[in-house]
Amino acid sequence: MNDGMPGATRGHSPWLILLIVCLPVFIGALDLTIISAVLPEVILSLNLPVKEYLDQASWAVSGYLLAYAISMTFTGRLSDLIGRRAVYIACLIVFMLGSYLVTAYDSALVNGWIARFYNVVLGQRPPRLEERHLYLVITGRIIQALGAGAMVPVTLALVGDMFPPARRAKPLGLVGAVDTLGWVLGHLYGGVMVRFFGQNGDRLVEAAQRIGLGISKPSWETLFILNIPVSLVALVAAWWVLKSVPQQRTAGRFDLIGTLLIALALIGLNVGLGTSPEAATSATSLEELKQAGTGRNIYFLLAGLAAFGLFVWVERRVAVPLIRLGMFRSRNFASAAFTNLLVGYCLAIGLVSAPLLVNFRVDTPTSDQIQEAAYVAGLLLSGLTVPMALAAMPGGWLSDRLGYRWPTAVGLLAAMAGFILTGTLWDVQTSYWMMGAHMALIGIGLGLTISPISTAALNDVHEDERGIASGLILNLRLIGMTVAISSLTIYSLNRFDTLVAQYQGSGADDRVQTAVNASMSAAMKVINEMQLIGAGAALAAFAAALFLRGGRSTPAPAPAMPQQRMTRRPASSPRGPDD
Amino acid sequence: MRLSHRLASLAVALVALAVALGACNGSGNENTPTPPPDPHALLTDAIDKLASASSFVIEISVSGLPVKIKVGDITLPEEIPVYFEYARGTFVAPDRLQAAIDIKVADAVARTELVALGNDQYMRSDLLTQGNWVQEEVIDGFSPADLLAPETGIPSALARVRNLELVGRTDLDGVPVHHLAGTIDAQDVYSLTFGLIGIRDGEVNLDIYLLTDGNWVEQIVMEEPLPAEAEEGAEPTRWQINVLDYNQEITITAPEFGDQDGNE
Repeated sequence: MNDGMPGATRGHSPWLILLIVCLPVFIGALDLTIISAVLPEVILSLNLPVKEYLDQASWAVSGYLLAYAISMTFTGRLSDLIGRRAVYIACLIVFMLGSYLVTAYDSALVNGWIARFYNVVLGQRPPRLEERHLYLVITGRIIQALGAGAMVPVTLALVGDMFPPARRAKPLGLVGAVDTLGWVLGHLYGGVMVRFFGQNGDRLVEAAQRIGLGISKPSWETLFILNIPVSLVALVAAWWVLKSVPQQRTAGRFDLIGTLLIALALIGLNVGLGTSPEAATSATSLEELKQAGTGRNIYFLLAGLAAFGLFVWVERRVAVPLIRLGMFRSRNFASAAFTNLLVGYCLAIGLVSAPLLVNFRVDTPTSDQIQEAAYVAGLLLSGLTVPMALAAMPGGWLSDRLGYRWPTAVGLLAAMAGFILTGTLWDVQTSYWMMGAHMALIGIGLGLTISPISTAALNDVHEDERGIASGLILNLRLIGMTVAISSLTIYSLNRFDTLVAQYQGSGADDRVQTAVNASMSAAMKVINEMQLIGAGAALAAFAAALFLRGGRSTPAPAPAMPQQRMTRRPASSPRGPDD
Repeated sequence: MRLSHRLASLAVALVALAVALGACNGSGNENTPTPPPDPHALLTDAIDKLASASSFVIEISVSGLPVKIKVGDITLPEEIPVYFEYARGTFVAPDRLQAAIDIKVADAVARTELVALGNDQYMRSDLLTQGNWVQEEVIDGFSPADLLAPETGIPSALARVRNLELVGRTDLDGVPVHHLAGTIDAQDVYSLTFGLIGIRDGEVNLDIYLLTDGNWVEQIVMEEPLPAEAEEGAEPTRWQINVLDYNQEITITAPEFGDQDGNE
């Protein structure tokens, strides 16, 4: 769309427009992980037992992730057909509505409707009130994510509308960086803010009262309320500036069947594997990790695989597919996709292991201690994620000079070294500084891979496929994270049970103390083993990255052929000078 | 104009139809309005059904001022208060009960599972017993048979409700119910709250909801008066007890706690 009019904006700088539309993208990505660090706090505030409800509560995170991923797959194409501005504004409104609903979970009116729905329509007893509150939080999160995820491909497509082909790398990189920065900072932001509210909430209420404002004590809910004014400002600004972007609509049909099938495949995969890479970072025990991550239903998995098979079959036959599968025949795209899948696998291990260890150290489950643990876990996670985001920039610089292969390979070797250190040196006494340093090494390593992988993939597809290719690469990383949590949970729980039995056999007289000690030792060993598996995954990703080639200089962009998407065609693979 | 004429005609026709239907419904009993049901008769019927039930599920939740409890003889690492939050139990006559009880320890809600067979009580909790079943008298002197005991059980407690009146027929989240109200001595409420209610003297206001379809007890709501030492602004403890799933085929057996920790 609009490829014939690069840089065609009337009156506003494309960069200004991009910055404005990126603000909600950032908030939406921030919300992807914002709740994971404070999930136990959320469950506690709903007066539900954490262990019994972590499984359901994890949908506040995994439901967001799933809805985010699903909406990313098709809204770029939808905006081709009905216009970027309309779709973007609608998505932003949906995001704001979802943010409001998360905070309105205790509405008597809505809870009454739900109870009535169960009694009258379903003929069943309604869930207890606290459960209904939880379900409303989850519903609000899913609605939020449908809006937030959709804004990513629409923003990427806007880059195509506003910038000429030769100048798209930087703005595309900016959108990718904003999206990554959002979700990498979400843990820290959530943890820090909830701790701040816990420590200073009363003072904030008093200060508000002094200026005549009656507010309730801020809590995790405040994080979502804050979304609304910020999004409102962005909404007005986007409404205004997007007027200057020419609104050309592509003729053609929306691949509804393909969209439904890929959505079903993602739902089947996520529910079947029990995806909760973000929720798993809140687990305070391996049992909770099991609830956050074990396979929930093999039938969902099979249904997901069947839907994926059908999706492939359909996409090979329709004139205008949602995803042109020929992209995967390109060496760089395939290599980048597989490497990113494994990067996601490594990332999940890095994100899960530190909070698990931090939460193990909590002696007494007071709100203060849980908030403190969430804060420390958030800091440690930022020890991985902030260096990861920062390393993305030198990764791009190195990629321009050395090509895609070597920055990716070096990054993965660094991540492997980090995992070996964590797997061999971490124990229950390890200082947080040491843990943070090891996490930083993993983060730097994985961060170095972001830019070369994305650029290799994007430069290996047709220009008008960049939006969908970006979404696909991001989705593969999420799938890698999902598979990691699911597979490692199964492994680690079996291993944990074996080790506990082994350690308890040599126990002392105090039965309870022996059980506690055995659980702690077994959990520590399992965490170490998970990290060594992370090292193995990094090695496999390293091997996949060796297949990347080219990238030393900016390749000539492929000609934009939006109309040709109406018919199938071979993939264009612009190469770098290495090839 | 044509459209407005049509709409007016339609409105007139609808009004006429409504009047005609009203007349049909009213014919024959215009002079004999149905008397409201006798609240005592309704409650007696409900009590009989509850007392003779082979099983039922009871769900207790509280809001307002927290209810502090003691969990058997289990000692916690520190002086941490334990509060009752929620319980859902299945009672099988004459003396078996299986329940999940949510308690608040410090700020964390933890689930405790309880199985009571006659005078034997078993419990399991991640927080209190590291997930192992232990035989422990969680509720002092409690036996499930107490729930239906002639002098102290739920039916007898309901039979002692005073000042009983029928508030009316209402709708409880879409379920049609008779709403009865009355008062009860605090000491008679023991069985309704497993002995958890904080006061022993005075009266407690009671709202009872009976299904219009069969007069089964659906919900009992009690508001406990605030204790003298309660902080200003505290809300009184409100107990909501739901009774459901009457006469289901359920078997409750002792937990196999010997396998849980390998040490029994």
